[in-house]
Amino acid sequence: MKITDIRTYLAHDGTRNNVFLQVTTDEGVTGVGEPYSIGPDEGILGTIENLKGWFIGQDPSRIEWLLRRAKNTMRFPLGQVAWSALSGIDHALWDIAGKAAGVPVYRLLGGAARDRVRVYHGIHGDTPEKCAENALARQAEGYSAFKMSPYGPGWSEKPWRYVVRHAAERLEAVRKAVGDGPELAVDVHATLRDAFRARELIEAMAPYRLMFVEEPVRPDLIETTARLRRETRVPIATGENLYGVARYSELMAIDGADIIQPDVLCCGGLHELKKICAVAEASYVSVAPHNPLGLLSTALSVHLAASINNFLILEFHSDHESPKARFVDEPWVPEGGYFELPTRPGIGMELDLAAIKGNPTRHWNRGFPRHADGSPAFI
Amino acid sequence: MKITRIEALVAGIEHRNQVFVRTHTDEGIHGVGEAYNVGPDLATVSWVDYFAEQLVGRDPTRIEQLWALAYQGARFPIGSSGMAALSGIEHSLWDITGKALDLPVYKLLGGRVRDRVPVYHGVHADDPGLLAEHALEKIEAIGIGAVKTNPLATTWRQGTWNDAIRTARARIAALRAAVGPDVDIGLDAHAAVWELPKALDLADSLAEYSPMFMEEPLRMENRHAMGELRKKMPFALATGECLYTKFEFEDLVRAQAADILQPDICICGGMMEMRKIAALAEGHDLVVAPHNPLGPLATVINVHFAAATSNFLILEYREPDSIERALVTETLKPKDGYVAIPDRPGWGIDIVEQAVKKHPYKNAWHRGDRVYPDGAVAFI
Repeated sequence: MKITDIRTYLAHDGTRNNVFLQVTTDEGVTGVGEPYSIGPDEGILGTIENLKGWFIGQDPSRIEWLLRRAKNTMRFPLGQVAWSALSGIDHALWDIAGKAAGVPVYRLLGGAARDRVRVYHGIHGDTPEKCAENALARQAEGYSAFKMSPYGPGWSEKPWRYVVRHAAERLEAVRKAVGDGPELAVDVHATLRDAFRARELIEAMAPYRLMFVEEPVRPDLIETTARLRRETRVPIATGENLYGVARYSELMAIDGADIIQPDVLCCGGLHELKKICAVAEASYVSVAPHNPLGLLSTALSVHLAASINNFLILEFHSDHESPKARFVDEPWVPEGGYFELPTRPGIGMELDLAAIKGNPTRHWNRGFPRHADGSPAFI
Repeated sequence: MKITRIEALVAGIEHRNQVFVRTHTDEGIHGVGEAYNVGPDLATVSWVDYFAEQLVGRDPTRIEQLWALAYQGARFPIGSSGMAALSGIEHSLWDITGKALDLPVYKLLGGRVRDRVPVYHGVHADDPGLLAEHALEKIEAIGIGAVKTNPLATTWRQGTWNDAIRTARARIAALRAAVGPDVDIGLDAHAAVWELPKALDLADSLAEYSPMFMEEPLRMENRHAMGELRKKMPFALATGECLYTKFEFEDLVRAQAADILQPDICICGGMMEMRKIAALAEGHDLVVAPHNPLGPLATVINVHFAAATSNFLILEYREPDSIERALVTETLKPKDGYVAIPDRPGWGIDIVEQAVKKHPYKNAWHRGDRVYPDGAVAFI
């Protein structure tokens, strides 16, 4: 079998772009993939356009070789654009391998290490009361683990003392609403630079028993995250901003996290993720994949979660209810907080090209938050 | 598909045993593997039976889960015979999965990253001239591109350490002169030295002959000392054959105790464990040169690993004797320093049961004793 083309698509879901691709072959088997929607998404399309000649005419089953060759040839650190592009191609190659063998992808990754895949649900609200309401609604749907932001709107322009107090109020409201049993996680979203502030925030929320605190500080210098792990008692999770196995080896070598959160859309794809999970497993660190983007991302993450021994829990945002659900043929829906394992060959999810083409790309950005003095904050 | 039976088959070969595992399924597909020949090999058979109790009735393609069932179910650190059994069983699951999907195993590992697999062969003789001759013979007759030898003569403990170094230098000088400047020479001190200054002295004394690596220059238990030594080494340090699972390799990597990792696929836990160890190595920019002194089946399994692993360096290869050849359906033959990658489903070779019956297990294998001149026990 030979690769004949890589086609890319951008579709706007009302909030942001979704980046999709298809790898086609001369035997009629087509694989689908989703690179991360990073912001300057045309950059991913341009990268794939530039490097697709390295893939066309090659055997799609040589996944490690094709991606290693591309990485080696690019020479410089890839960054989020190229890592996302190669991740998307990786997905499509695994999809083709699964379809060619007639089995779901997880069966090519060592087989199912579990029977179903547990998820936690994101909860949202501008006020503590709204958060509690949202959590109760999700709890009624069968979810027993949740993740929320510690911040209300406009937090970066408010006094730090207020931010810390308000974070505790949000957690208190949700904990009271859902009761003692469910697991609660908090996503600081890499908005803090200073370890001392992150520590103060974590300690204010700790009484409400946290499953983990995600990205409590900027991820660029992983030693700062490691420092928080040493200096606090709450499990520390990080990883969505780390690409490739080497960054995770650095993180493990300094005991930098209790839980890693690689994203299959930008960390290098499934073949890189298997390596990343192995590195974590050797240090008895578990994996809670980052999965905010969409349905194909969820499907890929379920395949990974099925195949690894050190999986903890998967992020989920009911994307089957969102406008982007129309971009795929069949949304996967969890039952009672778990996904069943898929049975269709390959990834088991196809793109709806008509819907994708009917929602063309639009300019988007994440907004530009600021501090009270006008200096840029982190999003 | 369900596992119906897992059996160990032990053959007595010329000087040691060969321990195979064969797993049967209700769909008529069977898979094979090789367990390390640890010495007390009946203990390995006993472990195979023990693990089989947990695994019979289960889907053989759920490799990650079945490995965890066995490993985590054992509770205590498993040790050599149990890890050998688990590794052999695990191989048989990959073989079954490959056959069921009609794919060579390397295609279940992300596909082929290379077209052929470089190999080296061990050479042995105390006398420098004989050692050189033996090396040339291997290169010409077997088609090997690189060699490995113990730098210390078998008699090294009988004289002073300075005598041992002088003899080692004479032997490696003769070897280098015979093979020329471009053939790789690996050195294997075989974990017989346990003092850091001696290991460093040995390495420094041989550096001028440009070795590829020094293997197990110190005892594997002492990872801290191995890390100290590696920082001072004049060339690459290789180790790992006595380590089990990703966990022990994680310790090794954290101690910065090796440039080249040498897990053995027949005792480290199997193929998936090798892949995880290779991932650890890749994340730290280290390479893997699998330890592979056993039979032709072990070699084929290693070749599938090497085919699919980017940070693979070179594979140990030992020419099988006539009994070993008879025990399997096919053996790989090196050419110009490389072996070809099999592309039949599964491993692509099988065990010949008739031959195993013809060469049955006779005894536990003893490696012999090594003693110092004063009668104290040395390492083998």
